[in-house]
Amino acid sequence: MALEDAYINAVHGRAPDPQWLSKISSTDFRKLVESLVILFSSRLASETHILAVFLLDREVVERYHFCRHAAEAKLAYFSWHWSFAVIFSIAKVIFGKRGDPTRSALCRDSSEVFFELLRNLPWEDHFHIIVASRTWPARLQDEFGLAMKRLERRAWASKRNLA
Amino acid sequence: MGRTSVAPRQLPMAPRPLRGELVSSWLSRVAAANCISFEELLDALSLVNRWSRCPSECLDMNLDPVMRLALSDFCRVPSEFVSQLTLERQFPGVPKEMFLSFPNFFGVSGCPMTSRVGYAFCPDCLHEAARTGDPCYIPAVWSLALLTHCRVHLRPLHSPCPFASSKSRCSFRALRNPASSVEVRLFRKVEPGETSSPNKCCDGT
Repeated sequence: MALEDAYINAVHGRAPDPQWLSKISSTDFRKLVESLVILFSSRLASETHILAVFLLDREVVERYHFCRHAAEAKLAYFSWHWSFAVIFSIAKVIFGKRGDPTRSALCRDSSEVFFELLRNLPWEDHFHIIVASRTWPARLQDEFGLAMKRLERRAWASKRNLA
Repeated sequence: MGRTSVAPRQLPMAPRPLRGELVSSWLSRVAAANCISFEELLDALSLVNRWSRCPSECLDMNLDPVMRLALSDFCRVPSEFVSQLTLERQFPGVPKEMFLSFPNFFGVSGCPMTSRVGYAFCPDCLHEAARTGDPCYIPAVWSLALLTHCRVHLRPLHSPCPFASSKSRCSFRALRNPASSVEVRLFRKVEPGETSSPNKCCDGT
C-alpha cells in the first residue's frame, strides 16, 4: 500500500521517501513504476504466466489463494489477484525480498530478488529484462548486474559445463 | 444507440459532478436521478444532438470536445467541470495502459456502447456514503490497475463479478434511501465453482 500511495503521490508531483531510491524525482519514480508494471504484467513468448508469478512466495500464494491458472490477457482486465501479484513484485524489486518498506528499512537489497527471477527464466528471455533495466535507477541497475554475475558464476561452476 | 425516441433538450435532474469522480460515475448518477439507465442517457444525448454514434470512444479518457460541450449543455453543468473529471486531468501523464478496462462494450440493445474505464471498488466506502447520506460515486483512483487496496479502509478492493458483465457493477438507483437518493447494489463475490444467477446481488436483491 505504501507503494501504491507513493505512485499516486508521484502522479501529483510529490516525490517518494528519499530513502527508497536515493532522492528519485516524482516523474522518474512514476515512470519506473509504470515500466515495472508493464514488465511484470507481460508474458514472455515461451511462458504461459506473467513475469510477476516468478516472484510470488509461498506465503503470498497461500494467503491470497492464487488458484487460477493464468492471468487475464491484458493488465486492463486483470482481476485483483493478478494486480496484487504485479504490485507485490514491484515492491520486492524496490524494497528487497520482503517487499515491505518498514521491515527492510536498512537493508534493501534487490539482487536476491533479481537472481530469483532470472534463475526461473530461460536464458534467451533474460534479454527482455536487460533491455527494461536500462531505464532503472542506478541502485536497481547495480543490483540487477550483481544478480546477472551471480547467475553466470553459477552456470560456469556447474558440473554440466564442458569448459 | 437508437432505443430512445423522445428526449428533452436538457435533463430535468442534474446532480453536480464531484471532485475526483469518473465521468462515467457522474453520468451514472445523472441517469439514476432521472430514472433512466446509463445506456438510455447516452441514447438521449445522441438523439438530442442528432448523432448516429457518440463522437467519443471513451467517456473517461480523451473525451471529445464536442461530446464534452454536449454533455455540459444536456446535464446543465459548466463544461470545465466535465473536463476536470477526465483521467488526463486527474492523472496527468499516466498512460492509458495503467487503467482498467470496462469489459462490456455492447449494450442491452446489442449495439456498441461508448466505452468507459473499469474499476475495482470498496464496498465499505459505498455503504458508508449511502449510510451518511452522501452521494455514492466511483473515484477515478479506483480505475488505476495497480491500486489493490482502499486507502480509507485499508481493505482489498473488490474485483468485478464475472457474472455482472451485462450491467454496471454498481448501479445507482434513486429509490430506497430518500436521504441519499441512491441505492448501492454491489454484486456478490462468487466463490470458485459456485453457480450463480446474474441478477443475484450481495444485498440479496
